[in-house]
Order: sequence, then C-alpha cells, then structure tokens
Amino acid sequence: MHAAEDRKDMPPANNIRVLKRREEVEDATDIALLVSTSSKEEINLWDKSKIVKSLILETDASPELAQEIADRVEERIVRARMNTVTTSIIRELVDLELLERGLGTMHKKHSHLGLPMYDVEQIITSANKENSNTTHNPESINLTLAEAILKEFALRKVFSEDIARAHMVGDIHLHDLGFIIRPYSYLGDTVVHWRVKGSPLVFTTTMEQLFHLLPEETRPEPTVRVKYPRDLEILDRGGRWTGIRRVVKKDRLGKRMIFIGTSDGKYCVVTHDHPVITDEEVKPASLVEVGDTVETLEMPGGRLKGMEELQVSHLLEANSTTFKFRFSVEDLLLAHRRMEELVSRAAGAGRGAGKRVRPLRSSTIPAEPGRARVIMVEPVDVLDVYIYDVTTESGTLIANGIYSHNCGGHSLDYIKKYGLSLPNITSTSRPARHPEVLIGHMVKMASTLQSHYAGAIGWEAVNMFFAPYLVGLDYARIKQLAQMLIYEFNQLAGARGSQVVFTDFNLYWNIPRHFRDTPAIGPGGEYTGKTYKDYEKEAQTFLKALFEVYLEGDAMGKTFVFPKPLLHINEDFFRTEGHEEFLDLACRVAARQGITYFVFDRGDEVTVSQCCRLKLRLKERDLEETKTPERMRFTALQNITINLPRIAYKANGSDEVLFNELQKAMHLVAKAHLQKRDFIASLLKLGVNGPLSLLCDAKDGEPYLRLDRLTYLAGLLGLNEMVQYHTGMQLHESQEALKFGLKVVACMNLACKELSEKYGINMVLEESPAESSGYRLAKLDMKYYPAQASKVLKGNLETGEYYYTNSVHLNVEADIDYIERVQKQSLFHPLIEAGAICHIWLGEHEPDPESIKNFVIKTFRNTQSSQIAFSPEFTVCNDCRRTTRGLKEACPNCGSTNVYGITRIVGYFSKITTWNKGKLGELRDRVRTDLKGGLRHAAP
Amino acid sequence: MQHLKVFVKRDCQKCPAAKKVASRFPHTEIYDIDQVEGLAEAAFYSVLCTPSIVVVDENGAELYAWRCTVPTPRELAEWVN
Repeated sequence: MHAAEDRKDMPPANNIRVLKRREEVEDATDIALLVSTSSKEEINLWDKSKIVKSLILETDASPELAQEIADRVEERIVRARMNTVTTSIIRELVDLELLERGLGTMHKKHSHLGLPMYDVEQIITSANKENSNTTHNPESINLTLAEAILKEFALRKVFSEDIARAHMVGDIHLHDLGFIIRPYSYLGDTVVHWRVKGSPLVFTTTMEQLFHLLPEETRPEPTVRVKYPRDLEILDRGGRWTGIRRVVKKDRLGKRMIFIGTSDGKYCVVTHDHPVITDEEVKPASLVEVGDTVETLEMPGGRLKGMEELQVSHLLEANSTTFKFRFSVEDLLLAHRRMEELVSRAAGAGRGAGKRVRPLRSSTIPAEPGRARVIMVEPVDVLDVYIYDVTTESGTLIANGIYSHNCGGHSLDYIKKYGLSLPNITSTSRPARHPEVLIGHMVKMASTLQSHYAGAIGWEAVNMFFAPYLVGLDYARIKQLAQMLIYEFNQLAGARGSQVVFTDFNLYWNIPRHFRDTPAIGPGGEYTGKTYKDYEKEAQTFLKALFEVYLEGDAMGKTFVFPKPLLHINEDFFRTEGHEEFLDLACRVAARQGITYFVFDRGDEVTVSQCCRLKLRLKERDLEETKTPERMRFTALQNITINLPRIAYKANGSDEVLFNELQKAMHLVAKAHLQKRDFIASLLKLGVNGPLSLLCDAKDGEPYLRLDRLTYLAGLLGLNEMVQYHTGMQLHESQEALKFGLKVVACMNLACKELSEKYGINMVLEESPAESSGYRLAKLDMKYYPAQASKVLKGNLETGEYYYTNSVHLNVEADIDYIERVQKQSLFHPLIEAGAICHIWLGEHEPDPESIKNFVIKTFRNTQSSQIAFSPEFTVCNDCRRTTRGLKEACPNCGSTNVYGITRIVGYFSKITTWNKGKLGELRDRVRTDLKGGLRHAAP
Repeated sequence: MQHLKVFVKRDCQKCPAAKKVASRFPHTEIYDIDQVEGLAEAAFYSVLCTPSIVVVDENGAELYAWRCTVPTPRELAEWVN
C-alpha cells in the first residue's frame, strides 16, 4: 500500500510530540545525540525537517534521500498512532529505513551508542568483576558505564569491520583504548652543547641538527620520531654534564609558541605549555612574566683545561639538504680533525686558506651559573612544522644558554628538584626540604598521574633517589619514613574508579650502574655535589627498612598490595657487600607475605660484544617496564591478545593451517594497532583544541586516552591448550609438546619483527595478564567451538568456572616439580620481550626463607626467567581482624564466617570475592608448594 | 651418539667460523635463528646469541655448550667422539 493513500485516516502529524532531552549546546552535532547528562527532559512538537537535517549532517545523505526517509518515518509513527515518541525510537526507525535500502555504511554512521535499561541497572547494582583492582562504588559505576560506550565506539569507529568482528567472536581481544605523549617542546633552532661521554670535545649545534646527526630513528606514531643516542651527554646546570636519553622530533600541529628573552641577551622559543624554571617555581611558558628570574649559563671565550667547544652548526648548514643522511657523530669528529689539519696546514703555509673555512670557536665551560631577568615574553608565529626535545637523565639541560626543563618521565628526582607544580592543582610547592614532605609530593604526583594515565605508575630506584634525604638520620626515623611511604601509597584510593593507585617501586640493593655517576639531588632540590654511588649505604638502609615494613604487614598483619616492591637482582647484586643478609630479609618477606617480586636483570653481564643477540637490546626507557609484565598491561594500552586455542581448533590438526592462521592473526593484530594509531593521530591533529592537548596540560581527567610507552603489544593466551589440542599433549607432558609451543612463540616473535619493520612500529610479545579477557575468550570458545573447547578447557565446565591457562604458562595443576616448571616456562621468556613472570603458588604453606633464597638464586643462575613471585593465600577475619594463612571458610581464631580471602590473581594481590568465575576455577586447581623435599610440590 | 647443534644468524661475523669448526664432525645440524625452527630450537637450549654450539646426546639432552663463542677444534673434539 502506498503511504499517501492511507494518510487520510491518520491523525495529523503535527499532533505528535517528541520526548527529547533538550540540548544546551546549539551545535549541529548535538542535535541527534542523547548523551548529555546535564540535559533535562522536555517535549517538543514534531518537526520532520530535523530528521532530514540530521541525515544530511551525519551520513552525507542527499537531501532527496533524507526527505524520502523522513517521510517514511513520519508515516510509520503516524500509523502507529503514537502521541509521544522518543528521539531514540525515531533514530531506530530511521536506521531501519537505511537498512531496508541496503545503506549499511550510512547506518553505521547514523547508529546510536547506548546501553539498554537492564544493563545499566545491572552495572549499578552488581559489582564489575572485569577488573579485580576495584571495588563497587559510584566512581567505579561511572567508569564501567563510560567504558561500555567507548568500547562500542572503538569497535564501530576506530577499527575496521574485520578487526571488530575478530574481537566480537573472540579470535583476538582488543584491550583498552588510547595513548598520548606529552608535547612539551622547543623550536628546532634551539642551541645545545653536547659531547661523547667524557670527551674533551664539545659540540654546539641546534636541537634539529643533533636529532639528524643521530642514527636509527623510530616512529612510535605518525607525528613523532625518536632517536636514542648512546654515550652522549649534554650540558646541564652549572656546567655539569648529564646523559642524553632520547631526542624527539614531533609535528608541531599548530601548537602555540612563546618567545622568552632575558636581560643578558638570551632567548628561547618553546611551546606554550613548556615548563620554564624560574627562581620561584617551575611554570608553563605561557605563565612566565617579565621580571621573573631565570638561571643562565655564559659561554665566554678562552680555554678551560682540556675542554674545547666546537661550533659546528655552519658545517651542517653548508650542506643542509644532505647532512641528514650523510653525517653521523663519528663523521663529525673525523671532519673536525680534518679541518683542524687543514687550518693548521694553511696557517703554517702562511696562506689565506682559512678564508674559505670558518674558524673554529673554542671556549670554556664555566663553573658558575648566572642569573638573568626575563625582559620579554611574547607569543610568536613561527613557520616551523616540527618541534624538538631532548630527554636527559637529570631532567634538565642548557638550551640557548638558559637552564631549562625537558619532558622526562615521572622520576622521583623530578619532584625533588622542582617541588610540586601540577597544572590541575592551583598551589605550587617548592622542592621538599624534609623527607616527609617529599613523600607527600610523591603521593600527590602519583594520584594526579593516575587520573591521566591508564594504570600502574612505576617509580625507578625509589630507595636510591630517597637516600640523599636520609643522611644522618637514625634507623628508627628511617623506618618510620619507610612505613609512611608504604601506607600512603597503599591507601591511596581516591583516583579514577576509586581504585587504589597501582604503584610499582623498583628497588636496588646495589646502585644501578646507569645511576652510579649521576649527580645526586638532595633537600631543597639542590645538587649535593656527590653522585648516587656515594649514597649506597643510605639507600641500603632505606631498602632494609622498607622490607621490614613489608614483613610486618598492615595493622591486621596482612600483606600490602601496593606499592609492589620489584627487587632487581643482577650480577652486581651478588658482588655488593651485605647482599646475603638483605636477600635473607627479602626472602623472609616473600615467605611470609609473598609481596616481593624478584626481577632478574641479566643484561650487561651476558652481552659479548661481537656476538649477535637473540633478544633486542632493550632501550633505556623500556628497561624498567619490560621487566614487569603486570605493569605493562596498564601502561601499554595498545595490547591485543590472540586466542591461541581458537587457532588450533581452526587448524584441526594441520601444522600448515595452524601456522597460516597464526600469521593471519599477527597481521590482524598489526592492522588493529595501525588503525588505533591513526585514530590517535587524528585526535592529535586537532592540536591545542583537541582532547589530547587538554590531557597533556593535565587539566582534564579523561581516563581513556592515556600515556603509553609507545610499544604495541601482542599478547598470548592459552598456549598450553593450543598445544594440547594440536598435539594431544600439554606443554609439561612431553618434550615434543614443549618444543611445539616454542615453535609457535618463535613464529610469533619473528612475525612481530617483520611487521614492526614493515609498518614502522615497535610490536613485541607480552604475557597478557588477561584476568578478564582470558575468561571472555574461553566463554566465546564454548559458544562457537564447544566440541573442541570442552576437550581442553581447564576448570569445571558444569559450574562455568572454566579457563584457559595464562599466556605461555604450564597447566596450574600440572604434577611437576616447581624448579622444572620454572625452567620450562623460562625457555619462553627471551622470546617474550615485553616481559614475563613465573608464579610459585604457596597456598597456606610458609616455606623456609632459605628454600626461597635457594630457589631465587637457582632461577637467576640456571634459567632465563625474567621475574618470579611467590604467592601465599590469606584469610582475613572482619570480626577479630586477624589474618591467617590459607583460604578458610571460617576464621580459625574466632570461628566467624565473616571472612574474606586474599591472594594473587595474576600480577597483584586482591580479594577473591572480586574475581571472575574463570579465575575462581583456576584458583581451585593451582598446585601449591612448600618448596620442601627436593623442591617437589606438596599436595594442595 | 652425540649431535652438534650450531646456531647461526644472518650478518653474524663469527658464524662462518663456528660452522667451519663444526663441519669437521658428522651429525651436525645448523639452525638459523632468523627462521622459526631455528629460533624455537635456540630458545629450547637457552641460546641467546650466535654463534653457539650445543653438544647433545641421542635424546637431545645438552652435554656441553659454547654460547656466543667458537670453540677450537680440539675443545670440540673433547666432547664429541
């Protein structure tokens, strides 16, 4: 029946009222979207032209098509004899029209993101078990609701259909969203002074030239290029030298630049948000005022013992179009020597050959810094497309003669030096003079970072950076400080989703080699004149105090969950005095509380210069994070996990199909990474008005776009079940099965390298913690491949408490010696560059610390394991507040059943009540050990 | 009977020397760690760099290994009969 014929029986269309949330903003894009929470309900009269407008705006429909669809929708509504209709019903009806016409792309653009009433109610009333590190509270409800919408958005808008589909059906699992890097920077012509470490020859170039002189550019994302020089240092405050960690070149993307001129004739052009160090505080360039005082460094003529400054900018400019490709630092040294020869030969011959060669300027590097007033602060228009930054070990450098800041990470030294000045906090603190204040600064910094970053905040060498504040204090005071530090972090639960801030403390008994000669910063942000190696005793005392606090546990004697102590063990550790006694303490903590993470740094000691390493040399910035897979999950947001058992199901016994499918999955992962990267790049292109700029300025707590380490992770799940389905044996059951597992991971490792090269990204494998995604993928396999999955899934199929074995781990209930388990699992670790861990489940056993010590040393010496942790289980009584060992239904002390259990879910301890069904199934199956009897496990 | 497993890699300066030393013995297998099979085998024997030579028994159990170095023919002969 034709619509027009029937119309006479209908009520007139203008009687229809539309129930719609009134939009506050008169922006066309808001018209059709029901997202504002601040809007109020209101009733509008029917206006068909709004459908036409929204179709044209959102889907690029032609006016004729839009009109035709609007007519049809009006007709349906009128025929349904509705008096009131919501805008979401109108939208659904429009979508139906689009689908009926086969206009899938338009439908996708026009679709509505939202949640059914029932789902929202569920989210409000039941706890979200996807993340075990959160409780059920108003903040976590907000987080879950927002996440639901954004996940849907990502799947529909960010990723292509094949990738979204692979995620939905469970071939892969796309982990969280988004990342960003802070775009503080300088203009390329900013002059810096640098040298090869310890060399008397000092180069003076622009940042742009420095960048182009270095080899091996990496492009973590389309707008950012990074280079990691080896053995270069740059001039820092007061003529000191500091190591260069990286040099970055970024697209300026329209960022506003500020010109700052000083009374002694120096100037610098920086981005408006660049932190400028004035005598009073560190503040963004846009807030610097005329009259502020800054520290500068003069470069007068004359020669200082053995130091020679080489002005080479002109050399580079002479050949500006090609130097990028032709010169390296070594070439420059050679060119310099050659020119010196030429000049001296010319001078010797008494001829004017020097005319064509500009004379080299030599100068001293002065010991005393100067002070200058800022005489001009103006926004400037520049044509530069790129901006630059040099990240240094000290966090500062001399740029254009001005003592300046760079965009280094969140090390404790940063706070020590500058105090606390966060863009979202209105007051500014001077550098701490007292250790208690330093702890306060650290905690506030961490909580601010938490709302801007995805999760774990790692602090490097905490005990070492603290040491200069501890000189001359007695042990009781140091212990009190250790206690304060741990409690402040452990109870910091006010941030996003009301989660406890996930904190990692990297701790060292021996001062790490790369910090030994770093100038130490002490109270008041002043350099102490010593280097960190001079504070080894204080650092060790503090470390000991921290572990004593960990040993005691909290007020109920229960283990702390955060900050996680990551104790680094390397060859130097065993050479450092007192290590035996300290290792005893760390092992006592591991035995009683389980909280110690033993991280093995085998790095330098096994490197032989001429040999070709299997594993890539780790970049400095990666070092701490790659050792801690649990943290990776939170910082490297671009993580995509591959469902390995699914591949075996598809292969149905054929090796060829299996490796083909594996390659296909790896390509899919790379493709997804690229799509995510493009999405982020599109947000970055919005420049200062985009969401990422706000995030950089730390004014907005949006948690979905977070800083990332710029590594693209490919996670593994269920290797054991894949191998079991394919070969009939589990990893621990035969050498062939284990070798087949290694072949799978080797294939993935090589695919990562190939794809990284192809697409210019840094893609590496990681052991996905996958505490929630693992369960999700297992459930999807039971849906789509029930016959296959039920043969290999672990746990209880009837109760739904089933699971895949984590990453490349051996079956948790495998009946094998723990030494053998660690040995076998560790074979995979060198192939998994983003980090791996072996868990030793202790259950209610409290092994002798001596056994733990033996185990740790054997693991370090005889395996390739990256990290191990020992996990006991505890029952905490809510009534008598006693903590006892093992998981019990009732408190052994008072008999109360008002108890809860705690143990490690993956890389952190949490309450078992927050675990999903899959993880509960795994918990039941875990084989516990007391490490006794030749280290053979004991029955659970 | 003993086998030699020799692990090599493209652009590895000392690898030809390792191959040459090992080639004097029968039952020598060469593994290229840029290939899946070679990398998996290297991981199994905890070989992290090239050149490496692992002497294994008939069950594939490691008897001795030179990791990241090239043994002399005499050193090698001591382990292979």
